[in-house]
Amino acid sequence: MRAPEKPVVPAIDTVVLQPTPFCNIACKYCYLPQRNDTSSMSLDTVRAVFQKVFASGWSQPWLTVIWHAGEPLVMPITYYEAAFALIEELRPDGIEVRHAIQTNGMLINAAWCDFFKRWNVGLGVSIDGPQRIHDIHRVTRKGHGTFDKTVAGIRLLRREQVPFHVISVLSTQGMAVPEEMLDFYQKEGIEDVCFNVEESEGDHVSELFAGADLQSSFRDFLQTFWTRSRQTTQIRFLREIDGMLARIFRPEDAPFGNAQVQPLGMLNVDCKGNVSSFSPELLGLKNAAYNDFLIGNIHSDTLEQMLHSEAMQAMSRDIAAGVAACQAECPYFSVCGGGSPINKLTENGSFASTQTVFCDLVHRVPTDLILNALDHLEDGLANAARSSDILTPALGRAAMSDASHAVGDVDATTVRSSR
Amino acid sequence: MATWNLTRRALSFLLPAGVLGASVLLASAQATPIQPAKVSAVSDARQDVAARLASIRKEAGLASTQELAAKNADKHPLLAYWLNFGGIGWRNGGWHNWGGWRNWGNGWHNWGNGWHNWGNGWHNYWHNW
Repeated sequence: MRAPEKPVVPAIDTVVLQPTPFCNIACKYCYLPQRNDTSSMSLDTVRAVFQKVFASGWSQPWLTVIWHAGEPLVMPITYYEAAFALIEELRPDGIEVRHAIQTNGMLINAAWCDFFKRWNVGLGVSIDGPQRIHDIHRVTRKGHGTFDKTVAGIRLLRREQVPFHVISVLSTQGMAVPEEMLDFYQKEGIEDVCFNVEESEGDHVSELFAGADLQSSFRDFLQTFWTRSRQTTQIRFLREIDGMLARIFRPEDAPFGNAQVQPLGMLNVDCKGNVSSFSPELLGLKNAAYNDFLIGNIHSDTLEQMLHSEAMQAMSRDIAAGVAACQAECPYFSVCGGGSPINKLTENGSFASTQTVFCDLVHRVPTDLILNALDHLEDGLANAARSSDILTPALGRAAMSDASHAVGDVDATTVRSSR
Repeated sequence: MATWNLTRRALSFLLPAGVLGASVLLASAQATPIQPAKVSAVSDARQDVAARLASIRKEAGLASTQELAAKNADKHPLLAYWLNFGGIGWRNGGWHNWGGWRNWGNGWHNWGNGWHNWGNGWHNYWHNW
């Protein structure tokens, strides 16, 4: 007889808030369906979210609050001042909150910089590279490029010493020129870089995703960018590689999880208080089988009710089935944790599915590059140990001495056969 | 028979370097062609991806790996120099631009899912922030 399954206690890792769906520009690859809607989230809604999150006992001790729209900076600074202060008032001891904002950077001014610094906001700026590449897709409603204003915002952040990272969407043009992309970041003093390959998501269908050589093109891009960027001192963080390193080189017992596949791991709230979970991109999309991905409204439902709602139960069941299938068949599961539900649904038509192109790009390509590099490193160490006399003598001897000390007497034969 | 586990050995250099240092070291390594005659026996034994990842995690968790890593951090402050000019590496002076070993900070505390993960978008695997 099977033991009854233990009820799963949610762990809220991230709250994604949509202060407004409105965006001041109209990127050609945008997946947000309501970016002309000028509605805004009331402070009452903010209060309801955090009263319920903190009262639930389900918040992680480090809670990330991401203000993600639309363009978050179309809302005034006073709005965020009031909202952040309200959340701080409600925050219980034992829970730390850090706010993050993802912006197109066009509205950044000195007052925003001051605000970012005072609240230690984790700031991400969307810029796709040099002007000729950025302005292909990131345009105003009239079709004008937005590069000048975005880069002005970045330069102001640097002058005001506000830490930030950039997310660059890689389309066909950017993917072809890793050196030019690197030169651009270096010229603008950008240190933390994240790449998102233009993907099929929501209503947007990526032409790039349909291309036959996408995976190898991205591999070539990333390998070149990684190699070249590490020959300089400026790029401090390359998310695709450096984020993956910590997952690959972790001890077996290190904490590991994918909040995007956990019920309420990510709590996503739109400006009217509607709540979804899992991938934030689901919020606002239509789907009859899953009640448009909505599990309740923060003003009328408790988190407990949302957790047990029909839509949540259906999504949880199907997403868990997809994760289980990933675990059973994908060799990369230990660095992925079950993938991204929005991409599974968009690409495969079902949450209860496995590999996507997104998986290939985000997990497989970086992992393969790192493992290949590790192979090279190990081979280099083996070769060096066998022929230390050709190396810088003192350090070569030190390496050999160290190796011998660690393992006893080692010769080339045992080195070769020991893997 | 005495064995010298190459993964353990590599980790003993990578772990004390922190995330950025490991990224630099591996970028340097992957850019350097391997001489086939020297490594054929090693390459023959490459594992599949899942097994390779599992073996790395196992080695990373071993006390002996961590002891070796700590020793390397203390004993070889010029390791980067050696890797550049003697063994693998750029051979073009790239390493010594950084001002020395262990100046890179240490990003491995990402394992704890804590504060230090914030701001780079990975910890919840959502890429759009």
